[in-house]
Amino acid sequence: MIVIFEGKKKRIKFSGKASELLKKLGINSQIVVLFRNGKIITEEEKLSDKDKIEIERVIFGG
Amino acid sequence: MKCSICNNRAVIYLNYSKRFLCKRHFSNHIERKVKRTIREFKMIDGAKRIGVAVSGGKDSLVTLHILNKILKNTKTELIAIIVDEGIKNYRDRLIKEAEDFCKKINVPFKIYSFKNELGITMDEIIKKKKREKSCTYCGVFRRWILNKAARELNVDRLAVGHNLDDIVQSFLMNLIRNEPFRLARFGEESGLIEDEKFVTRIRPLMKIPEKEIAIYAIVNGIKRDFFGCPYVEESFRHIVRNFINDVEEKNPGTKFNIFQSFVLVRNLLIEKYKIELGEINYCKSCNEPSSKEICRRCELLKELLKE
Repeated sequence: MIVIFEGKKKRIKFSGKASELLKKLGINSQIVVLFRNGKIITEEEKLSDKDKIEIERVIFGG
Repeated sequence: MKCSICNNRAVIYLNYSKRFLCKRHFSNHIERKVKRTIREFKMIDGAKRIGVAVSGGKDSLVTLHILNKILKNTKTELIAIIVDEGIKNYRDRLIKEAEDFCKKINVPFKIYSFKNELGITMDEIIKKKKREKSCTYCGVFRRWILNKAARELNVDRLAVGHNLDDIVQSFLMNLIRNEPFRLARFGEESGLIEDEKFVTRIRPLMKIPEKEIAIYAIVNGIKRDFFGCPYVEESFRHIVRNFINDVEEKNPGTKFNIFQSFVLVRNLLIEKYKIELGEINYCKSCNEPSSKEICRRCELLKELLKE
């Protein structure tokens, strides 16, 4: 699958729950929102290896 | 995933209540919760004019959006107060978003700048000072300007966008630093300080988790681009934020539990410190409310301008 996070695009092998993808990437789900094909998805969503997932950080310090 | 209520596509899963919600039911959930908070703490009772501190970030835009919805067809007026700290390529972008949003929903706004009010911008402060104290300068100066602006604009409440995460972080930070007095000053409204020169602050989003505010902003077309301040201090608050988010991820509902403890402890602290506080002072330099002879804003500004 293709994952875009903080402007960086990378290809990884993954299929499973979105929350598990975040765990695999070491990203806390509390600070990001996930999009598939431009549409917001929940962390419970099942992802396939063919998906293009955008992980957008929505919480910053300050 | 489908909405637990209507079967439409879910935009969020609320881990702490094990529910999926679609755009419509999630928006209703947030708006109902904000209304309940406003009622519970009598935030807008009797207010004729409410000022909303708008930075252009998600929290302040959502505060303005929801208050505008609630106050539509009532006699209470809204005005947005925008503070321009003078941070190039950051605040100017957000101010543009704030202005556009105010125009879109037809809410009047007024911009106050650090340059006009203090004679110095945040960009200039950073050039003079170490970056570690940037949030201290910015926070103290912004609060001072907002209070003065709110008074000048004749508002009887000042709404700020503090969310559940902000409150819970501040609570834990104060506990860790052993500064219970500060806790008494923070909460649903200003708490301890009652003075005609101090405009009462309200926090309508204080029971909404920060991530839910972001999702509400996205699905309602309020905000789509998120970016952080270039001068942010990644220090103590950062550690506390990460800690709470880690615990929340493993134990959903933790933030709400900490919040409930905060409300209980704060009420007890207000009783304790109200007796010790006595009368409020005014700063000898700017004549604004202050707990000391010279307020923090004047102390910091003096130090900056003499260099």
